[in-house]
Amino acid sequence: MKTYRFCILASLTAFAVLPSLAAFAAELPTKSFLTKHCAECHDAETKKGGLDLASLPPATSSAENFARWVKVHDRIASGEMPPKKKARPAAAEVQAVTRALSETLVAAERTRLASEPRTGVRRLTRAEYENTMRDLFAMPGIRLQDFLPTDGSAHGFDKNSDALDISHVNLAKYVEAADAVLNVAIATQSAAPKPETVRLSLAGNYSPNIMLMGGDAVLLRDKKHDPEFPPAGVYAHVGQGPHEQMGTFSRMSSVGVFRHEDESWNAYFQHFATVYPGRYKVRASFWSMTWDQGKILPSRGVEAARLSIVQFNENGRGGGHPSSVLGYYAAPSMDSQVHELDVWLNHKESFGFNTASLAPVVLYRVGTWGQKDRTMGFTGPCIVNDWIEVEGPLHDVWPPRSHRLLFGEIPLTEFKLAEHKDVRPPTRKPPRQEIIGTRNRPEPVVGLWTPQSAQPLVDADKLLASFLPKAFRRPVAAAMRQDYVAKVEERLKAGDCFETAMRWAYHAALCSPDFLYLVESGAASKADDHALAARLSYFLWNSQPDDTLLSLAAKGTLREPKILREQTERLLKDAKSQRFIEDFLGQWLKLRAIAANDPDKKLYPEFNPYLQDSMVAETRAYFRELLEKNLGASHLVKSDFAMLNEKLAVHYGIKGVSGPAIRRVKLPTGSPRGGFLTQAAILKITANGTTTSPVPRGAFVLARLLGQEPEPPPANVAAVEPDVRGTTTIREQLAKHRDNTSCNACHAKMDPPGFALESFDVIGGERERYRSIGDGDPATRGSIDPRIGISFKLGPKVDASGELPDGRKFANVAEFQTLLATSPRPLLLNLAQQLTIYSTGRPLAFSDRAALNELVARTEKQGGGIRTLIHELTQSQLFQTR
Amino acid sequence: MKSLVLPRAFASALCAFFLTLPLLHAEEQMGTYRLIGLSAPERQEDLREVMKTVPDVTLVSLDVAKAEVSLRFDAEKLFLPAKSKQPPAPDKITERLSSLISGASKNTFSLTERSAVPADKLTKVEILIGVLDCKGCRYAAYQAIAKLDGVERATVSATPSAVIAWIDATKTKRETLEAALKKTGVELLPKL
Repeated sequence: MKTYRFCILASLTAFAVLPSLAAFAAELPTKSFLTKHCAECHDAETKKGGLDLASLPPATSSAENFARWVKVHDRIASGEMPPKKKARPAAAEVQAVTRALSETLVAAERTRLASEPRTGVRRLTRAEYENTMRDLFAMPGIRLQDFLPTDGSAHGFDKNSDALDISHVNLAKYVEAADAVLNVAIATQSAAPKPETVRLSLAGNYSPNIMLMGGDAVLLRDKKHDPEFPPAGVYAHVGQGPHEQMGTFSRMSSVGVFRHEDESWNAYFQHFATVYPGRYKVRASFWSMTWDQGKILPSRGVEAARLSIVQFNENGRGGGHPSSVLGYYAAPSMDSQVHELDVWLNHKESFGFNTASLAPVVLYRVGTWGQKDRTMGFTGPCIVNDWIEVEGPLHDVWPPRSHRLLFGEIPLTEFKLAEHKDVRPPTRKPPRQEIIGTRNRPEPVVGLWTPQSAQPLVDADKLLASFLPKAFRRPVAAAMRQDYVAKVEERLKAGDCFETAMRWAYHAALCSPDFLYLVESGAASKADDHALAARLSYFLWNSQPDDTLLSLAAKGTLREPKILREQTERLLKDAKSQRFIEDFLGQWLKLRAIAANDPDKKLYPEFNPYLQDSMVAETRAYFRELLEKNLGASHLVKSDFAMLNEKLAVHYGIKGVSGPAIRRVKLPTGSPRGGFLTQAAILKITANGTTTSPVPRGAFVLARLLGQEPEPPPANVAAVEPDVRGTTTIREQLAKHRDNTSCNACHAKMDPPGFALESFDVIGGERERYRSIGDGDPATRGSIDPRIGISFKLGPKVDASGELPDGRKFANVAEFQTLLATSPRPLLLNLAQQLTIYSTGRPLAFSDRAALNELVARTEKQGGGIRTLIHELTQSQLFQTR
Repeated sequence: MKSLVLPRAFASALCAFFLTLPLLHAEEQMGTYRLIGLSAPERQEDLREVMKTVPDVTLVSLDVAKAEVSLRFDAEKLFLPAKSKQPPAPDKITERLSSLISGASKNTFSLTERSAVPADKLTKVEILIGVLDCKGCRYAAYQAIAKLDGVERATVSATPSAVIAWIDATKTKRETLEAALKKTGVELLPKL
C-alpha cells in the first residue's frame, strides 16, 4: 500500500511538472494500469530492472527516455509484463493502455520528426561507390573498395548516415580512387589494343613446377602419362632447373594435381598478367580421375576446381598474393569440360588454381599417406587442368564507353609537341609488363594521342552537361555546370591541354559531395522523383540509377504505382540485383563475418575454404530462390528444399548431389535443413570456431529473424564459457547462470532458440554428441574424407529441447522450426523492418510501426511472398519519405 | 672484228664454278669442339634440332663417344656487325659458337676447346644411381658433374642406371663426383 501511494504521488508530481507525462496522466487507462500492475515492482523503492516509472521523465524529454517508454509499451503489448507470476490484466485493459501509450508516443515523435527529413544526408558506402563507378564508366570489374576505409554500421546496416562519417583519410582515398578510375577510363591510343589469345599451362610456372618435381602433381597427355616426365616412384625427380631448361614443362601438357593449396603452395598461371585492364574471355578445361598407383581410372564423381583472380603485388615474385574467388568449376570424370567465362581483369592480374574438392594431401613426403614410394605408390583423387585460355582485351567500340562518357565523339588525334609549344601535353604512363615470368607484352606506343578540341570551352560545356547529371544522379543547374567549365578554362589558361583540363573537372566532380553523397531533395515528407530513382536503384542494385530510371524521374512518372512496380520488377530481374542480395545478406544475416574465425583444426578437420564458400553461396542462392518464387516468410526458418552443391550435401548428409554448382534440392522427409535458421553459414557465423553457445545463437535468431533485439549483457556478469574438454555441457552451465533472476529475464528468451540449434556444430554439421579434444569416446569418421586425419573424440550428448517464453515446448530443432513457421507474421514483419532500414538508410521510428504493419498486412493479403513484400515496400510511404 | 664466242667447255666450267661457289667461300671454315650437354645418347637428336635453328653454322659430324662436334661456319658472319677489321681469334670463335648454340638450346648445350688430355690418360668412373627415368633428371645428373674441373666427358645411362665419366685423375676423383651428385638429389647405389 505504501508503494502504491508513493507511486501515485510521485507520478502525479512528475505529471504536474512535466507536460508530456501530464498527457499520460490524463489517459485514465494508462494511469490506472500502471498503478495497478506495474507500480509494485517499478516504484522508486523497488526499481526492478532499474526502472522507476514514477520518476521516468516524459518521452519528449530525450531520445533515451522515449526509448524507455517504447520499451514499457512493448513489454505490456507482448504480455511479458506484468510477469507471469502476477495477476494477469484483462485483454481489454492491455489494449487500452497500449493504445493510449502508443498514441502519445506517436504524437510526440511526429512533432519531433516533422521539421526535418527522416533520412540523413549520407555518403556512398564502399560497395555503392565501387558499383556506381563501375556502372557510370561501364567498367564492370574495376576494383575500388580496397582503396577505401571500411564503413561503420548503425542499426544493423552500413547505409545509415550515423555510420557514414567522412574523414581526411576518406577524402584522400577518394582522390586516389578517382584518379585510378580516370586512368583506366581515358583512351590513350588511336586504336584498341589488339586482342590476343594466350593458352596457358599450369606446368612451367614456378610453384606448379615444384609440385611436379615433388610428386604432388603429374604431367599428362591425352589422359595418359606424359612420357617426357613419368610419375615419380621410388626415386624422386631431381633438378627442377635442368627440367625447365630441357623444356619438360613447356610442352602444354595437362597437369593433374593431388595437393590442395596451403600456406606454402599457391598455383598461379604466371605466364600471363594483365597489361591492359578490360574485359577478357577466359576458357578453362578441367577433368578428374582416380589415380591408382599410376593407373588412371574414373574419378569418384564430379570434382571441383577453383579459379581465382590473383592481384600480383610488386613484380609478382613469391606466393600469397591477394586473390578473389572467380568460381568453382566442374571437373567431370575422365572427360574434359571447358568452362567459358567473361571477366574483367585489372592491371597485373592473372589466375590461380586450386583442387578445391580434394583433401589436403601432400605426397612429396614419402610415407605420409601410407604410400611406399611417391606418386606411383599413391591412390587417391586427382583434378586435372588441361589448359586455360585468355582472350582479350575485348572492346566492342573504340574509344571505349568510359572514354565516350568523358569526351563524347571528340576524336583522338595525335598531339604534336611542335604544334602546341605553349601547351603541356597530357601525362602518359606507357603500358608496361611488370610481372616476372610473363610472356604477354604491351604493344609499342606510337605517338601521343588525345582528344583535342578546336573550341574547348564550348565542348567542355557540352561534355559536362552530359556527364554531371549522370554522375550526380539528378539534373544539374547551369550555374553549377558553369563552375566546372570555369575551372576548365582556368586550367587551359594555365597551359594544360584539353584532356588534362577536362580531367581536372571530372576529377573534381568525382570527389565532390554531389557525387559522393546521396543528396535527396524534395519536400520534407516526400523524396522527389530523382531521389526516388536513386533510392530504388541503391536498394536493388546497390548502385546509381540507369538511364531508364533517370528518364522516368525526369518525366515525373516514376512514382506512379504501375510504373514503380514495373521498375522494381525490372531491377529485381536484372543481374545487378545480385549486388542487393549479397550486400543485404552480408549485413542482415552477417554473411560478411563468415571468415571471422577459423574452426579449430583438431575439432573440425574437415573444414576448408570450399566448404565456407559453399555455405555463403547456399544462403545467397536460397534468398534468390525465395525472391524469384515469391515464397513466404515461413521459409526463412523451415523449408522442404535447400540450395546445395555436392560439398554441402555431403556436409548435410544428403545424397544424390554431384558437382560444385548450387541447385535446388528437395530435402528428405525430416531433414531440418533448408531455412536460414539451419544453414551452415548462419551456424558458423554464430559460433566461435571452437564451440557453440546457445546465447549468441539465440540472440542472433531473436535479433535477425524475429526482430527482437536482446538487451546487451550486464557489464558485471561473467560470460559463460563452453567447456571444450567435454566435461560439462553448455546447457548445464547456462542452467546455473539462469538461477540468477536478473540473468533469467533475458536468457529465458534467448536460450531456447540457441538450445534448438545445439543440434549443429560450429561448421553447421548436425550432431548428436559434442566433439571433444579431451575426454570422450572414439569418433567415427562419418562423411569426413578418408585422407583427413581425425583426432577428436565424442563428448556428452546434445540436448536440443527447450521451452519458449510463452510456454510452448519443443524436443528438437525440427519442432522448434515448426513452432516458428506456424506463425510467420513476426518473421515477415522483421524482414519488412530489415528491408526498410536497409533501403531507406534510417532506423524505424515508433511512429513507423503502423505503416510497417500495414505494409505487412498488404503483403499477407497477396500471399505473403518476399517479392511481394519488396514491391509493397517500394510503393509505401515508408520508402518514399525522405 | 671477231665476235666473242665462248667455247662450250668454258661455259660449262663457268656454270660449275658458280654452282659450287658457296662451298668454296673464302671465309668458310670448319672446326671441331668439345660438346657439353650430351648427357645421354638420346640428346643427339636434340642437338640436331638445335643446330637447325642456329644461322650460318652447320653441323658436319658428331662423335658421341668423344663428345665432340665438327662445325662449318663463316667466321665473319658470326660476328656481324663486325667490330674489328682483324679476323677473329680462335678462342673468340669458340666462345661465339658456344654462345649461339647455348642460346638456341636454353643453355643445355655449349662448346669448349677439345680436351688436351690424351684419351689413354683418362680414368673411367662409373657410379650406380637410382632410376632416373626421364631426360630432365638424366640431364640434371649430368649437369651436376659435367662442368667439374677434371671431368672430360660424361654420360648418364638409363640401363643400368649409372653415371659414367672420364676424368683427369690428377684434377678430380670419384668422391668429388659422388658428392656433386648427392648435392643435386641423385641417389647413389652401392657398387655391385
